[in-house]
Amino acid sequence: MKRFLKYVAIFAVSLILLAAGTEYMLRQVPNSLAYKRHLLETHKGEVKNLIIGSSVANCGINPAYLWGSTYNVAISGEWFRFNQKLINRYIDDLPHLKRLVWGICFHSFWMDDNPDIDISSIVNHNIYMGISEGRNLLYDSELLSLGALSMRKWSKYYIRRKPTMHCDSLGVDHSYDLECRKREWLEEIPSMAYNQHKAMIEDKGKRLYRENVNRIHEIAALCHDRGITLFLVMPPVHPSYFELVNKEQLAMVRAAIKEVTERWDNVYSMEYFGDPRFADDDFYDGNHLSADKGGIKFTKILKHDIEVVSGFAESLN
Amino acid sequence: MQGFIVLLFINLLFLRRKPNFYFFIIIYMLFNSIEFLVFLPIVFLLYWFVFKPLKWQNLFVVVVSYIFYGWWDWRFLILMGFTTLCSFLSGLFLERYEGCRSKQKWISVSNITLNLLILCIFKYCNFFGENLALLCQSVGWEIDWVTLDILLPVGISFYTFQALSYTIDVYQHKIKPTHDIVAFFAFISFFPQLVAGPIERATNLLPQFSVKRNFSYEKAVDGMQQILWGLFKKMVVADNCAMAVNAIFSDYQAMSGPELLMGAIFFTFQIYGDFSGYSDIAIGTARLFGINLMRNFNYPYFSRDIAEFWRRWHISLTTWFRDYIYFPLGGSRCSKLKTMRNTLVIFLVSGFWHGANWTFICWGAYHALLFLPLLVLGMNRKYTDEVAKGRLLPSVKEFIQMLLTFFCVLIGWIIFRAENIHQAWDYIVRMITGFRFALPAHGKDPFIYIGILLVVEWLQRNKQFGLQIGTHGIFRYRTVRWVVYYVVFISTFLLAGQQEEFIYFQF
Repeated sequence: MKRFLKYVAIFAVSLILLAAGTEYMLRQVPNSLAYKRHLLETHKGEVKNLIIGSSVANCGINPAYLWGSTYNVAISGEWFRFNQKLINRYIDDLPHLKRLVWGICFHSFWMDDNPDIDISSIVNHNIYMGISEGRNLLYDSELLSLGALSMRKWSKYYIRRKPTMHCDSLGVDHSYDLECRKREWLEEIPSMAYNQHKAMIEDKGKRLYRENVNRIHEIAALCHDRGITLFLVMPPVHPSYFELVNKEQLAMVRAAIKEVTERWDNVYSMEYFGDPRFADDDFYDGNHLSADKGGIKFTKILKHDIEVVSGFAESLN
Repeated sequence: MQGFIVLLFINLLFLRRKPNFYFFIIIYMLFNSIEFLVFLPIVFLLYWFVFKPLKWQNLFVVVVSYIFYGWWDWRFLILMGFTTLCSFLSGLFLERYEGCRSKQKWISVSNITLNLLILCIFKYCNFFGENLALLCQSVGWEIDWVTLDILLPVGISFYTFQALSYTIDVYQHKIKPTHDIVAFFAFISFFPQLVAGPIERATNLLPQFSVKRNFSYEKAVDGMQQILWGLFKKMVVADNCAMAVNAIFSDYQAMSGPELLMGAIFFTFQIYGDFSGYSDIAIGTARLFGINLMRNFNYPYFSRDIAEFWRRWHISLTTWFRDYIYFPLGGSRCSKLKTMRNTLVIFLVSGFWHGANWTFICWGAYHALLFLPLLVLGMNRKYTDEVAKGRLLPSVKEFIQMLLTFFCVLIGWIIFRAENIHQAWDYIVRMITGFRFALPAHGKDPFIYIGILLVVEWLQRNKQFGLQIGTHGIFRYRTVRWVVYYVVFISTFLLAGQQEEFIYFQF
C-alpha cells in the first residue's frame, strides 16, 4: 500500500507542478484582453471617449481618427453581457468619460454566455479582465478549463514564436489588416451569413434577444445618470453579405436600437449596415472592415456624423 | 384508488420540475469530473485505512455508493433501496420455503414482476401509452393520452437486472441466499458499476463482499492503468467524436454522402469509446478496492462476423440475456425453428432494454437478421479465438471479414442513434446515394484519435484492455512505463473533447 501511495503521490505531484508551471507561462503570453484592461487602468484618469463592442468595433473604429483621449477596448466575439460588465466595472473610475461608442455586430443580439458555446470567452474575461461569472472554480485556470486550446496558445508564443496580440497603442486590432485577409474571403460570405442567422432560429421565444436589448437599456441608463452620450454604431458590411442577411433578423435589430434611442435622450443610433461607400478592399471579410483601410475610412465618416448628429463638435476637443 | 395513489406518489416524487430547479439538482458525478477526482481518493483512503473490518468496509461501500448515486438525484435512492430490499427479502423467503417449489416460484415471480413493473413505469410507461393511443387512433378511437414527464432514473436497467439475477440464481440454487443485508446492499449499489455496468452476477460479486479484501499492489496498478485507458477512450475518442456526430446528425439532410458516412463512423466509435471507456474505469476503480468485476468488452470491432461481435460487445448484458432468457426458453437445445425464435426474442428484448423507442427495437431486429443466417448455417460459433493470433497483421480474408462486420455494425448504430425509424432510413439512403465529392467540414481530428485507439487495441488485443502493459519487454523499465502514463494522461487531458454524459447512463 505504501509503495502504491508513494508512486501515486509522485505522479500526481509531478503533474501538479507541471500544470502550475504551464499555467504561469500561459499568463505571461500577451493577449488583447489583458492589454485592453491595461489600457483602461493606465489611462482611466484621462479617458474622454471609449469604444466598446465586438470585433466590428475592434477593427473598424480607430481612435487615432476620432478625438483625443479616445481608446478602443472592444473585444472580438464580445457578448453584450461582458460589454455591460466592463462598463459597470470601470464607469466610476473614468471621471472624464463623455462619450461611449458601442460598435454593434448585428448577430450579437443572439449571443450570450452559454458555456457550451464559448468557454474561452468566460475564462479569458475572468482571468485577464477580472470580470467573473462566479460559477466555476475551474475558470480561474486557463490550462484546466481550456486544455488543448491553451496549449495551442502556449506553443504559438513559446515554440513557434508568433505574435499573440495585434493591438496598437490605442487598442485597434491589426489582425484584421488587409495583409492578413484570407484569399477565399469572398467565397465564405454565404456560409458566414447563414451561420449568423442560425443563432436567431435557435433563440426560441426571443429570450436572448430580449435579454440583450435590456442590457443596452441598462447601459443607456447608467450613461444617462452620469451625463455620458451613448452612440450605438452598426459598421458597414460587404454588399454581398448585406444581401444575404436575414431581413427579419435585421428588422429586429433595428427595432431594438429604435426602442433604445426613443427611450433615452442620451442615445444616438448610427447605422451603416448597407452603406454603398465601401469597396472590396475596405473589408477584411463579409462583416468586418479591414483595420488598416476600411476601418480608417469608416472612422472618418463616423466622426463627421457623430459631430453632426450630436451637435457638439467643438466641445469634443 | 390505489392506482391513483401510486400515480400521485410518482407525480410528487419523480416528475420533472422546472428547469431552474434541476439546474441545482442534476449534477452527475461523472467519472471524468472534478467531483469524482476528489471523491475517489477520499473514499479509497477511508476504505483501506479507517474502515478496516469487513462489516464496516461493506457499510462504508453502501454509504459512499448512495452518496455517489444521490449526487445525481437523492429522490431515486428510495427507489434503488426499495428494489434492493425486495430482492434481499425474496432471497430470505426463498430459503424459508426451501422444498416447496410452488411457493418459491410464486416468490420469484412476484419479485421479478415487481422489479420489471418499476422498470416499466419509469422507462416504458410513455412508450406503451403513446403507442396504445396511436393504435386506438388507427381504428378510430380517440384516446387523450397524457404523457407523464417522468425523469428516468440513471442506471435503472443496470441495477434492476443485477437484482433480478440474484433472485433467479437463488431460485435456481446457483447461489445460497445471503443473510448479510449490508453485503447485499453493497452488491447492488457498488458505485463503480452502479449506473452503467458491467451488470454483475450475484455468483461473482456477492461472495466478494463476504470475504475480507486485501490490498494488492499489482491489482491496484492494473486498475489505475485501466482507469487511464478508459479515460482516454471516453474523453478523447468518444467526446471528440460526439461533437462531430451531434453536428452531423442534427443537420443530416444538408450533408453529403461522405459526411454522413463519417458521422456514422464517428458514432460507431463514440459509443464504443463511451461505453467501453466507462466499463474500463468501473472495472479499474473496483480493482482499487480489491473487487474484480467481469469483463464487458473484448475488442468488438475486431470481430470477423456478427456472432463474434456479440460475444465481444457488452458481454455482461449479452450473457445475462443468454442465461436468464435464452436458456430458460430452451436455448439451442431444441428444434432449429425454436432456436431461431429464442434468438430473435433475445435480440428484440436486448433492443428494448436500451430504451423506449422503436429505433432500439429495430436495432435489435436488425442484428437478429444478421445473426440468424449464421445460426441456421451452424456458423455462429465459427470464430471464438483471437483474430490473427501470433501475427502482427491480419490476413486479407480476416481484414475483409472485419471490415464487413464493422460496416454491418455501423448501419445498426445509425438506427440506434436516429431519433426515429424514418430518420434512420433517410440517413442510410442519403449516405449511400448522396455520394458527391465534398471535403467534410466536421473535424478530422477524431480520425486521428480513432486511429490511435485502433492501433493500440490491435497490438494489445490479447490483453484485458489497451493499456495493460505489464512488466515485460521494454516495459520492464519503470521509466518507460511512467513515460507511457504521462503521455496518455497529458494527451487525454489536452485532447479531451467537450464533456458529454456517458451515453449508457440513460439505459
